Order: sequence, then C-alpha cells, then structure tokens
Amino acid sequence: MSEETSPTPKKTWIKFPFVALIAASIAVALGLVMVSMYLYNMSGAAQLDLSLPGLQEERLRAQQVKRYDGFNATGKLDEESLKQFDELYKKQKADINRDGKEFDVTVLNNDKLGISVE
Amino acid sequence: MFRVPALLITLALLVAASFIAAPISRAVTTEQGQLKPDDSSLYNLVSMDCLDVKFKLNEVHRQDKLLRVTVGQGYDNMSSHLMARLNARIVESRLDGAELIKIAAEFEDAREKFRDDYTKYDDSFVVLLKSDCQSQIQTYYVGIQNTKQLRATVYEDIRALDQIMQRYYEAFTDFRNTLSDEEKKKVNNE
Repeated sequence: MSEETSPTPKKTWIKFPFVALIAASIAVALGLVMVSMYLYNMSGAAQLDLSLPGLQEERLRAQQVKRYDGFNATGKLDEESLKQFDELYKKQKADINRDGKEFDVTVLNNDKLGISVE
Repeated sequence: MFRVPALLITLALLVAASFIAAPISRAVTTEQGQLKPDDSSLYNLVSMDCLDVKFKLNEVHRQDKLLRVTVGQGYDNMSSHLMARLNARIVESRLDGAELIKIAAEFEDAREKFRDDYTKYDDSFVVLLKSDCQSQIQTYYVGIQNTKQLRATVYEDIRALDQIMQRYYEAFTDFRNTLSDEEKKKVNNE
C-alpha cells in the first residue's frame, strides 16, 4: 500500500522569481541610497555641495578658484626653496584670513536682521 | 494564484521606496519647528518682519556656503600642499622638523573640529530656515540666538586655526634660521 503525499506548495517567490527579483532590487537600492545619504550628511560633504538648486551664483564664483600647485614635495631643501615656501605660505595664510573674517557673528545681530527686542 | 498578491507587494514596495527616498534625497535636515526656548518670558517683546528676516537669513546662508567652500579649500591647500610637503622634504633631507610635524598634526585636529562645528551650525541654520516664524516669533528668536552661538564657535575655530598657522610659520622661521646657521658653519669649516 503506497502512501500518497500531496506536493508541498512552492513559496511565492519561487513561483514568481521575476517579481521577487524586482522587489529585492528595490529593497537593496533603497538601503544603499539611505546609507549614501547618511554618509553625505555626516561627512560634511553636504556643506560643501554647491550643486543644489538656488546656488548657481555661488557655484560659478567657486569655480573661478584656480588650481593650487603649492610647494614641491621633492627636491633639495636649500635657501631658495625655503624662500619660495615662505612666499607661498604667507599668501595662502592671507587669503584664508580674508575669507575667515567673514564668519564673524555680527551678520546675525538683531540690528542686521531687523529684529527689535525690548 | 499568488500572482496578484506578489504584484501588489511589489507595487507597495515601489510606493514605499519613493516615499522614503524623496525626503532623504533633499540632503538636508527636514525637522521643522522643533526649536525650544529655554525661557521665552525673557523675550516677551520680540518683534520682527518674519518674511524679511527669513530673506536675510537665506542670504547669509548662501554666502556661508561659498565661504565654507573657499575657506575649506584654503585649509586643504595649507595642509596638504604646503605643510605636508615641507614636512616630507624635511624628513627626506633627514633634518630635525619635529616641531613642524607636531604643529601640522595639531592643525589637522583643529580642521576636524572646524568641520564638525560647521556641520552643527549648518544643521541649526537649515532648521531655522524651515521653522515657522509667524506663529512662534519668540521661539524663532531663540533659534536665531542658538544658531548665532554655533556661528561664534565656528569663528573661534577659525581663529584657533589661524593661531596654529602662525605658530607653524614661527617654527618654520626658526627652522630656516637654524638651517642657514648650519650651512654657514659648514662653509666656514671647509
């Protein structure tokens, strides 16, 4: 006497592999987007991103900055090269100071923003 | 038999994905109106034209974006194109540049702090720009003050970096003098 067993029902994703593939792809893509956006925000890259809409003017101004070669990493360290370093350093420091001063807090003062407090 | 539910699940996933991805792709904090005043009674009589204030804040934020990029590039050039290269040449020439290397390392730490503090400041600014000013003027004002504090921290970081750059320059001048003295001694001995 043979015992008849009914075939076990196949799982849905085995029956429709194409649909399962699409669903899995979406899930993976979503996970990767979330990870990349987290890194984008946490790394500080978001603050340096001028490609956002509304920043076209700033983007164009930033693009005007010339490529900086700096001090040569190899060669003899003599008086001539040290003099060259001196000049490059002083110029770079002056440029940074000029821009850095713009970060003072006075731009957020009440009078600058037109706020009155009594 | 399972075709319809499977399709429905896929569609639901697609919709969910678009709902989740859309807000995060804005790449900015979307928290709104979460400012909490420590003591709003201090600012009972704050008056401002919200539209005008928001317009001015937006302008400041735009300016800051460009400044952040240019200042950041400046620090990067200073660190990787000047300090690191001089230090490398000193090491290559087997000279004593311990002080310069130490200050360069301090500069890197200070840059890291500047980056972190700027991120906090920018996040606060973005929240401010998205907050409701009209119905919560006092809360909004407290938010401006908090952001101002964070900006002051960023400014302190910039000043600290400036001091480190000055110290590096002084150390470089000492190094240069020492080197020229040694060269003079060599010439005299020869």
